[in-house]
Parts: sequence; structure tokens; C-alpha cells
Amino acid sequence: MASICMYFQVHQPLRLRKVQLLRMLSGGMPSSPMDAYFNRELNEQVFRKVAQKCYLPTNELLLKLVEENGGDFRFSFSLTGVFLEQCRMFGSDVLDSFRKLADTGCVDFLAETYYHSLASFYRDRQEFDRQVAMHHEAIKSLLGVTPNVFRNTESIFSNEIAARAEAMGYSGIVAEGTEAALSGRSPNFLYRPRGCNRINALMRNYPLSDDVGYRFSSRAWKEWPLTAEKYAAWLANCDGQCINLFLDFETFGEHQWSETGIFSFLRHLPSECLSHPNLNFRMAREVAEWDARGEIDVHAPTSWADNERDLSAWLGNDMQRACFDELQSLGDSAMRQGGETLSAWRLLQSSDHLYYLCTKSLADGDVHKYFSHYQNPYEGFINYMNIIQDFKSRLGGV
Amino acid sequence: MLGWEYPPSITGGLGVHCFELVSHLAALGVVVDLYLPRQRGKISSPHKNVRLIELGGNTVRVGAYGNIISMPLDSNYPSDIVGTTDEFAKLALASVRESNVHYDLVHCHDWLTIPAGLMVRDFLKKPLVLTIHSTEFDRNPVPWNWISDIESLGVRSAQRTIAVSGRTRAHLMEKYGADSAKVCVIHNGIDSEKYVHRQEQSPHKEKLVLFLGRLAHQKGPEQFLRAAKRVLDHQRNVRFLVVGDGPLLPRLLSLAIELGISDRVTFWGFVPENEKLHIYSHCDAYVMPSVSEPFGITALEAMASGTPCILSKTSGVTEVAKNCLVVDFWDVDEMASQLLALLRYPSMSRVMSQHQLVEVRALGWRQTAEKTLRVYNEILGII
Repeated sequence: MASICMYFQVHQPLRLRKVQLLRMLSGGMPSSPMDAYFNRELNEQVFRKVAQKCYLPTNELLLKLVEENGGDFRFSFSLTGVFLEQCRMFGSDVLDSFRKLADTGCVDFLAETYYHSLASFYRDRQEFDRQVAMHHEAIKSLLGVTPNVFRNTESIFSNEIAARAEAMGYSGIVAEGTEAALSGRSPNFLYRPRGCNRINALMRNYPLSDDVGYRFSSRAWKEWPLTAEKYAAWLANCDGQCINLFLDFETFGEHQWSETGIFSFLRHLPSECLSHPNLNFRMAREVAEWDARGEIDVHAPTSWADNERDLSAWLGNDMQRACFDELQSLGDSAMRQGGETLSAWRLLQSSDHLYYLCTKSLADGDVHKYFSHYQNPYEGFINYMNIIQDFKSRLGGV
Repeated sequence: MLGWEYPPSITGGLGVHCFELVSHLAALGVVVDLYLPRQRGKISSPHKNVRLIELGGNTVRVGAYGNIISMPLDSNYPSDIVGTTDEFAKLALASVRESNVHYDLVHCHDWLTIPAGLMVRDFLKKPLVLTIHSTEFDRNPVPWNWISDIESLGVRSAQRTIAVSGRTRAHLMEKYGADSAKVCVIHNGIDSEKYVHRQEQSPHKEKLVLFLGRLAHQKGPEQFLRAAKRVLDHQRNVRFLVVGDGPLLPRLLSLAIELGISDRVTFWGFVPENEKLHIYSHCDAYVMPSVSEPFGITALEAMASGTPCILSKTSGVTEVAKNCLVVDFWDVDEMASQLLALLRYPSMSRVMSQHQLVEVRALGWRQTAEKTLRVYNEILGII
């Protein structure tokens, strides 16, 4: 018997305004950093578009599927704090749709860094703890769920990060099922990260996850078209404790448009899977409590991004590292000032701002371009660095 | 092949293109006779498969894009250009007829050699290939009708037209109603090995920003100076180099004075090819603010030197050069902001420079010649 552990990542970046260096140097910036940096109009427009194409229709379908299957269809979400902030600004209807799902008791919510940041690599270790605590509280108060599985930003994982999550009391942590970590073993088991005593790693089964997330609509793929029946048969053939299918929520209706048949796929997935006697669905919180079957030893951090599955999507070139270092160095001053200044500093930490500056070419470059609203990484860098410099000058030139 | 200019005395991309093209075609086994008006300097063949045939004495005035200013200031043509293209055509026809060589096809370049290309084609009854390096609409704010008429005739008469960029191809279809099936794009290349690499730690006290091109409206030197002024308002230790010659020089000199930046701008004048190889490597940024640039080989030259580039969006080179900043040629505030960013944020210069050097390696003239040969083979039915 293998349990299907599906979790959907829900995030929407807060895109930055265009900040021209000349205007900045001429003193033409708005007094509020939030107004000066974040493009409210664009963010609202994108959020509403995605709400209509993805969040609302998918949640409606998921709710129906949960009700139809009387508790046998279960899954998990991870909502970033940046997404929750945008629900507050542009989409109480979207938040309500998640609340309804939470109320069924069949839907779990994971913990993560509130700001979708790379704070796990900060010299000041407390900032990471604070952001995780903020997110934990937000999920508790907004959705009534106390998370017990931790998912670091972009599934960034290492022994050390697992140990920190364990120290915060989490039972499970999400990791990418890379070959390096598994060395030939199946991702469909729980593993104990080296150095940890209690926490279990849920390894993403990336081939099966990407069949839906990336390949679903690709006509060049030999398995196209992928039906729920075929996919369920693949899952039924897997052995192990849990098949971890971790997907970007926007797979439904946004990356894979409705016309590709993705909703019909989702519509039939639970019943097709449940028709196999050796398959069931479990939430991440349930799976995390089972016994680990082995150990993994991950020193160099892994992630779920790009072919490299490492940190190179965010910290791969000098421009990215310069922005990361510069922003990190402003932490103490931002903390002293608090209020809107501190919020702006934290919102600027979203890993998306670094992701846009990635200069890796080949296939991954195209993925970065798909997500970016900049013409190229250089334009993205100038804008982000201009904003960091403006922020620095507001702090009184640290 | 019918050309107009040939190194060392060249004024634009056409001359470089012809030289590199015949050199690499020859290496691919193509035997080329290149007919040219008599050049100012001594020229020599790059390969045993290439024969250079210079025509005329002083009757044909070389310098397609020269800087004689008896015509309106913005004009790119010497005053006696009228008639020289027909003169060249007659000489080319006579020479081809006399040579008695069996040619498989005729390839001509730009409007200057279209009359010759048509006459030779009619005599030999062989296919004509035409490469368009720029159109009259790119070169002159007010296009000369008799030139655009020749271009239109050439594009409609040639079996195949090669445009140096997608942008130029679109112009040919839009302005001259060219048949899209008969116009293909083959981008220019670069011999990147020749260029001296820029040192990350500049030996110069001042930051150097380069403009290099003909001083004509098309190239946007005025926008360069206006952007310079805005940069200098915020950062003084920058010198702006204007390399090149052209009809706008007097106007640009006055503009620099008017803007109060004449102490920060150096007008360098015309620079021969061998010196150009070094200039880019001394500069911290290269700006190509062209109003209309069919391709823009200088951008590849700067990239081959590892010098970060700011390129006008209306330039064909941006179709192949991705590791650059792009800007609207009229947006001098944005141009200045990008320059200030390049000067202030060394991590960007470093990353851009590294990626440019890799990028240009894939943009060799060899590829240009191979694609051109493919066009020849297609027309001649060779698979």
C-alpha cells in the first residue's frame, strides 16, 4: 500500500516598480517605501488574473472532490506569507476558498518562511526563526490549522535546515528527491536527515510530479495525452510508503491552461486512484508521523528549481550574490526602525527578486524568462539594486 | 560578387561583411571573384579562391557612407554619388564579358551595386542574390526616392534577398512589398579572436564611456551627449569618448559646449580598424544609441572585448546579442540611468562581460558564410 501525498505550493510574488536611477538620485521617490517599491497595480492585475484562472476554479473543484470522496481524498497546501498578504489586499474571496477547504479537515497546510526568502542562509540566524514563526501564526489564525510539516522556500533543504526545523518542533520537512540525496534509493519512503533525531524528510518524487507540472500539455512527450486513468495506473505500480507529488498550484489553469484538459485530469484523479486497492491519499502531517526507513545526508543545499536542483537559480551569479549580501547587511538598521521599514525590508527578501536575475542559459533560462516581468536579468538587477540602494539611503546610509 | 568597399578603407558594415564573407566562403570551397570600385588603399586577397577585381580609375567615387558635406548636412553620400553606381555597373559588365569566366550565380550588396548586379545577371542569365545591409529609410531621415526605387527594384528582381536582421527583413516587406518567401535573415558575425579583452580593474582614473560610429543622425550621437550630461550631473569622474567622423561633427561640438560638458567629452575622430581593436577594451561601457540600425557590428566588437553594452532597441544586433542592456534611442534618461548603474554596480559589469565573451563565440563569420552558402545551394538546386 502506497499513500499519495499531494501538496500544492501557492505563491505570488510582489513585483517591484520600475525605479530609475536618475529619478532616485534626483530625489523624486515617494516617501513611503511600500508605495515606492511595490507595483500595486501590476500585482493586483496579476493576482486577479491568476485567481480567475487558477485559485478560484481549482479550489472549487478540490472542495467538490473532497466532499464527493467523503474524507478519502486528502492533500496539503503551502501558502506563502507574501501570498496571504495579497489575499488581504486583493482577494478575500481567494482566502475564503482556502478556508472552506481547511474546514473540511482533509486539507493540511505546511509551514514555511513568511516572506518566501532565503533567510535560512542569513548570518543572523534569528531572522529565519522569526519568519517561520510569523508564518506559523498566520496559518493558525487565518486557517485554523497548526502546521507540523515545514517546507523551506523553494524546497531548499540540507541537514542543517532540517535540524533547525526539528528544533522548532516540526515532525516533517519537504525535500527534493535528488539522486545525490537518495543514491539509488526510492523517493517513496521517509528518510531521516543526518544529525536529526525525530524529523522525517518527505522526498519529492520529481519525475512523477513533473509529468503533471511540466510535461502534461507537451505534445512532444510520448505519453501525451496524460489521462487520470493512465497516471493512476503508474502510481499504483509504485512501491513504498508515500508517493510525494509536490506541485506548483498554478499548474492548474495557469501554467497548464484549462484548454489542455488539466481540470478534467484533476477531476478524475481521486476516483481513478481510489479505484486501485493499493492506493490512498494522505496529508503531509499524517505521513510525517510514520517511521523513517533510512538516512539521507545532504550537505550542499538542494532545491526544486531548474535542472541543477541547487541554489544556482537565486545565488548563481555575482549580481544575485551582490543583491543578497547588500540586502542582508541592512537587517540590523531595518530592525531598529521597525514598522513599514521593516516590512519593506522583509518583502524585498522574496527569492523571486533574485530569481529574475538568473543568467543561466539553455532550457532553464526560458523558465526564468517565463516568470519574469523584466526584459532580461540585467534590467532586473538594475531595478532591484536601485531599490536596495534607495532603501539603504532611507536607513541613513548604513 | 559585386561589392563597394573593402578593408582597410571602409566606412560601414558592408565592407567588413564582404571581406569576411568571401574569406569564409573561400574556406568552404567557393571560388569568388569580387568586383569592386577602385579602393583608396591597397587591398589584398584573403584566400587563393578569392580574386579581387578593382574597376575604374578615379571615375568611381568610393565611400558609400562618406562624409563630404556639400550635400545637406544629414546626407550620407558624397556629392558626386549620382551616376557612380551606373558607371560601376557598366565597368562591371564590361569586365565580366571580357573575362569569359563561367559563373554560377551573381551576388551583390546594397543599392550601390544593384544596377551592376542586374546588368551582370541579365548578361550571364544566372540567378541573382542580393544582400541588404541597410535601406535608404535607415540611412536618411528624408529618404531619397531614386535610391529607394533602386532598392525596391533590386529586392523584387533578385531570386533571393538576404537581410542582415529580422528588422531589416520586416522593412523590406513593409516598404518594398518584398515577398516574404524570398527574403531570409542572415545575421552578421564577428571574428572575436581579434579583439583585446577589457581588464576588470581599469588602469584609468576616469571611467570611460564610448560612442563609436559615423557622426550622422542615424547613429544617435546627440542622444549620447544628452545622456552624458545627465550622467555627469550625478557623477563627475566620467569621460565620454566620441570616436568617428561625419557630417554632424560641428553640431556635436557646439552641443557639448552648450550642455557645459565639453571638458568631459573627447572627440577622437576617425580610427582605423587596427586601432579599433584596442579602443573598446579601455572603456567601461559602449553605447549604441542608433535611431535606426539594420544590424550594428560595433556592438559585437564591444562584446568581443568584454565591454558592457547599451544598445538601442531599434537595432538588428539585439536579435542575437542577449547579454546587453537595451534602451529606446530617444529615452536619454533611461540611457543615463543604465550608464550610472553600469558605473556603480561592478557585479553587473562583471557578469555581463563574462556572458558576452561566451555569447560572441557562437556568432562567428563562419556561420554567416555557411548560411549564405546554403542559400546559394538552394537556388542552384544543390542539396
